[in-house]
Amino acid sequence: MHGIKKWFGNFQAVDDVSLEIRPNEFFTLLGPSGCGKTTLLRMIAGFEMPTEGSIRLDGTEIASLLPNQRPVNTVFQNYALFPHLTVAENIGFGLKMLGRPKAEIAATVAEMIKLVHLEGRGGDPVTQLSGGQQQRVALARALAPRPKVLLLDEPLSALDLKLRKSMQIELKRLQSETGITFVFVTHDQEEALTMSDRIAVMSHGKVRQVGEPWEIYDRPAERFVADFIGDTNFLDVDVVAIEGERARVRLASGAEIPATFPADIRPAGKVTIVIRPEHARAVSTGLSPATPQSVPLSGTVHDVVYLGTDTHFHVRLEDGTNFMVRQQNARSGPCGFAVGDPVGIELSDDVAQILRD
Amino acid sequence: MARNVARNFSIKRLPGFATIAMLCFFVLYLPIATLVVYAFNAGTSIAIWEGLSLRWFASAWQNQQVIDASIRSLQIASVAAVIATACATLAALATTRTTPYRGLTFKYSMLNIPLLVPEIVTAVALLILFSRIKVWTGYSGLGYLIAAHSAFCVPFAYLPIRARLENMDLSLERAAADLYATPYKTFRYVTLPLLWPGILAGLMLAFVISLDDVVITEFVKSGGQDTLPTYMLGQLRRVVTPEMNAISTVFLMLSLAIVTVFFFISRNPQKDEP
Repeated sequence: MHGIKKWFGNFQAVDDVSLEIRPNEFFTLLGPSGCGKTTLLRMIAGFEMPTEGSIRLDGTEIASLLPNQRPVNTVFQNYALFPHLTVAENIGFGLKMLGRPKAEIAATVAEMIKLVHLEGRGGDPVTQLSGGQQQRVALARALAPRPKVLLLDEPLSALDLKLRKSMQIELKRLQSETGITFVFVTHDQEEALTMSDRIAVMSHGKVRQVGEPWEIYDRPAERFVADFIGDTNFLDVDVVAIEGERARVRLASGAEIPATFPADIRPAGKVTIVIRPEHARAVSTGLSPATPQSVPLSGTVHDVVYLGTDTHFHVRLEDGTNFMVRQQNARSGPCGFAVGDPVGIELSDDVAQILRD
Repeated sequence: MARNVARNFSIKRLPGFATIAMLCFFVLYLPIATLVVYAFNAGTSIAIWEGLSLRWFASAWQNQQVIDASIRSLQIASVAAVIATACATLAALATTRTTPYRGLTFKYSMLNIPLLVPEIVTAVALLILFSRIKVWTGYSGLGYLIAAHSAFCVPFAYLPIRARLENMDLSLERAAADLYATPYKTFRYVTLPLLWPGILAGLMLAFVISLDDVVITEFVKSGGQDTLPTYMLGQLRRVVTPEMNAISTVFLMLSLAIVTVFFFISRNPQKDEP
């Protein structure tokens, strides 16, 4: 996909997007609503034409083909099952339209019904199924013609939490069993991190960062990406030196720590780093004389949020910025600190990431 | 919440509501009930009851003019309903399955304005137009009535079809296209089956409207082309016997039958939208 631009009147929904999606990959387009991810998906499906740019599938240009001419199938957000057809007729629809022989259609439909665990429901009207079952019919219908790419437009958003969790695992299983490339659209960061091989984070029609889930999470390139995915601490620091792939940055406390940075920039001067709350630990300052190198940050606890598995300590640092620490509750019983306690903050190795401006 | 609101503001509690509702039902149905009852009158009066009899149904059945007019009515109504529904289906598809553009609302209005134009105006206009054509072509068959009926039935057939199309999820057609259906196959296997109840509703509505028409038929028909309603109108000017009641009763039953069939078609819960 290269240089895709899409204008709706005066509104630019997709702004110069270039992406390469690899074969057999679970690729996720992640972003808030209105970021252009669904528009991008619809251009791959053929429901929209790009204003500019090209979409190639295995080297063949498909941007100008009609939806029915592309070896690409979609699972729609509202499933869009045909209400006048049965489960089996829905699943077999694509093959029937391709003019496949009846015996082949029947065999594939039976196989698909088994794949999505709907044995015995083939003759039922789809309107009699529950939301989760309809979801599985929609999946089977889109998978039956063996598309080269399966597009999924927020297919889990209508399901309740428990069903969504099990469908996430189900989708991942289907993807590895069928070996079909999945392009998944969602605004749910957790869903994206759970299922994807790679994620493209989008906002305002632009792709902000592409990478594996851990890269997106631990090495966000921009403030938007860091902020959109998970909880994050932002700290203003000075770059002291660049040592290979790390930069040395000086915190407000005077401590110096190493920080990674996006490959396309040379950080210098004042920059912002991100540190994930679970990469820090709150420690008591009373016991040993704290050196800035072992305990680079210190402040006062001003809020404690107990979450069962974790406790979040919101610490006000000496320079006034807020810093959140997420600590796993490894022992039972009340633990840690109370509001007003002075604390030091230790950091794990290599956890700071410099943001692009 | 909604239920509470409904309970607090139940319209049944408005003073006089029940009385007015009952009065409306009386005004609507009492005359019809009387008409049906007197169709079975043994006497020759439509106001004095002289005992139960089916003689007027038999007399209508043997009246060649009534039979001819009925057949003519049915011929015109069936052909006109089919033509009107076909046109209305195409019009409904064209006005809903397109991205909105300037002039769409205008076209939509043009389709519906015939419902508001006084029928007498249309009747006079058609009379003048058709008399010209008659002079040019020499043709004076039922074609004129069929053409006129087809035309004024289009907006009636259009309404239920359009309503059905608007309720239909556009993503269904998109899904069909995504699953390799060509535009024709999408129409054939998805749009048409789902639209079918709407088309049938349009067909029946057009049929009943055509069957019932007096004003335009009266102006457009040539001599000897009476439909059942214009024949009855002509008879009422001369002598009124319960035969008219009998014909009306049969007519009423036919309409009720159509409405009933329509009701069951449009209800069909299993095949409805999810």
